Amino acid sequence: MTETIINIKNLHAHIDEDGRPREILKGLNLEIKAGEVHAIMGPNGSGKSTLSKVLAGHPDYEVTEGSVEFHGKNLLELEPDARANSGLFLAFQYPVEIPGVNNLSFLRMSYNSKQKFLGKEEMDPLDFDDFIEEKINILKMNTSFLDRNLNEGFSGGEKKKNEILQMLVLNPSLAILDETDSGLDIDALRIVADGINTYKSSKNAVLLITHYQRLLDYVQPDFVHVLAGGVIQKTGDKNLALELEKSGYAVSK
Amino acid sequence: MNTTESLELSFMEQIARASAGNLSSIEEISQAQIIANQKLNNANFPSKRDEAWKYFDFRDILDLDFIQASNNMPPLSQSRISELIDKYVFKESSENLIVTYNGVFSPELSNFKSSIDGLTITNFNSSEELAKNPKAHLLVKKYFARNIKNENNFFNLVNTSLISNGFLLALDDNYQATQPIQVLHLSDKNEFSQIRSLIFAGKNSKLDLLVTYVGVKDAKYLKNSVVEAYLDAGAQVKLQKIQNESKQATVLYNFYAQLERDSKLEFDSYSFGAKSSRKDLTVDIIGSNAHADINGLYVVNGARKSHQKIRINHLAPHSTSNQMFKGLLDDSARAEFNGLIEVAKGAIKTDSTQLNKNLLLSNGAHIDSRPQLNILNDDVKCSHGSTVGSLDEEQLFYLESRGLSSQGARAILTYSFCQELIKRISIESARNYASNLAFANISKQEEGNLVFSTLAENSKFKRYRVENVD
Repeated sequence: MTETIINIKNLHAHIDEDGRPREILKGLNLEIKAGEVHAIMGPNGSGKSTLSKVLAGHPDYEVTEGSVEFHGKNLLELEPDARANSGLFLAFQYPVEIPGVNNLSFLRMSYNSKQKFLGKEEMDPLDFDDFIEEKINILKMNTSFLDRNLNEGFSGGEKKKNEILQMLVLNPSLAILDETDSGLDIDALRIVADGINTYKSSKNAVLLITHYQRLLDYVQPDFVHVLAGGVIQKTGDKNLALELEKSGYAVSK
Repeated sequence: MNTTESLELSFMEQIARASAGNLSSIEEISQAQIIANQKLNNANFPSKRDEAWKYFDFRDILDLDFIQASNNMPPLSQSRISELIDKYVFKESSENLIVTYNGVFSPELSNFKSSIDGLTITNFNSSEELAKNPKAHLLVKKYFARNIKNENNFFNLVNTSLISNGFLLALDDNYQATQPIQVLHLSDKNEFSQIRSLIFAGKNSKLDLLVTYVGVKDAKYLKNSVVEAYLDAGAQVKLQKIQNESKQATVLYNFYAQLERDSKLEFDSYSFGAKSSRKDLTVDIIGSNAHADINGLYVVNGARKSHQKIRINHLAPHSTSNQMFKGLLDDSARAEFNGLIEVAKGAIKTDSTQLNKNLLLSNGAHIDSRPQLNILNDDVKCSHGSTVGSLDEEQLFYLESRGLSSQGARAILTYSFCQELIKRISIESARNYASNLAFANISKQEEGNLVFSTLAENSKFKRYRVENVD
């Protein structure tokens, strides 16, 4: 039987807005198994980014009801770093700039945090250099990228590629990509898609959050969900995305 | 009379006594000392009522024993010397080293070639040395305590009155120093010391100076330093000061610079040590098209204090200045930023910026930030501002979502905050030294140390990679 990677049941979450809670997720259900690619589409403000942040453990969101099992364990009781080290990865819609912190050092610290968490040996700088070179070639990035500071002064496309590079380094069991395709030109989109396709295997899963069908031309989803009003309104195969592209979200109603 | 008053009186009396027999044999210096003594006779001990000293805690001065530094160098063992030099001298500047020990300039501990054409390093208060070097004598005559008549800073006057020696560092016109010069001020005695240096950069000369203040652990001294720097037309001076004083010490730094036309001063100050430290920086831009970059990083923890008082006077047209001061405060540390840009009448087309950013790592830390502008002229561009904040939640979350612990993420962000200024330091081992000191002040966690060492070792590693590409 195929392993369930994440199982989200009746998830309710709110954010604090001027001292008043506003509920954004209103009973969301989603199960993702190993080897699957899921795409979540939906209108602005439907809760797509909230879902990704809640799963990654963003402190602004509070889960009020429901459960999330990640590899059979309660994800919601873990701190963000423990979630990451357990295999959950979120590629940010807006990756944050950290000036003065070298990209390569950061990648190695991140990688070694996971190694340490899993009780595995940490990688020294020289071995990591070989390791990273292989990853960076997949994304057709120049190695000078590594000498720059983490996202500092990166273009929108470079930031997104750097997210995918981090994903390849950390090799998570679940990669949640929050609008990684937005702001990419067609060449960058292809490269990012190549990165995702290189990463994906029968042992892991991908959750793509996107507004546009175009990424799905390169990364074939097994399931397409429409998220609206804080719940999954409709689920279909890749044809649902094509339908949405043509007729808008009205089809889900 | 209360205790404070009697301590102040005793302080003043001791200065008067020490200054009485301390007149220099160099006429121009003794003249300045006479003026300083007269001013001190009429002066009161500074108090919090003075705007300039509003936030300063004078107990940090008055509670220390006041003993005038001895002019005689105590004998140091050879092993002690090499130990200290190994520890605090940067390998890039080990051949261009000026050392003062407990406030006294020591040619014996220093290591520089005295015969370089165009570069003079000498004790400015030695008639013997000045007799050998008429050029140096002329500079001392012209520039030593040049502003003494208008000087009202109490401790600057005390310094002038009580100095026994100090060094003159002078560059001839067009002399461009190719190597950075390091000045190491080392203190290990519980005493009141005066340090004085006079820097002169001739026309179109170039100097890269790294000034390090080091105090041995737990020494309780009061240090009073005055640096005067005169930049002639077209001179370019980079002066980077790394302060690692004893955490029991009180230190007062007066820095004065005068910029002639087309000259450029970069002054970067990195403050990590001392129980209480105070900087009084004054830059007079007297020539057109001159530029001053004045930056500072102060990292304080525990119950320590750091004060920065900066004054930039734009006295000539078409001159520019930039200031960036960053403070990182933990525990119940206190800091003050008091910066004033003054644009004089006639100083049109002045372009000046001033920014003070503070990061408070604890609720008990306190910052008083006062960026100020005084513009007496139209047709100028000036901006100023200050921020006080804590670590950015989005940045923290981003790092934690990459598997880094909360402590590790905090360490990265504080490192990031400091690097904007530390990266300006021109030599690598000094950059690492400053990074280490910044980190030692704020990191209480093993995790933080790990993060730091990983980030710091990168510079070594980068070279390796470049070499292997070929």
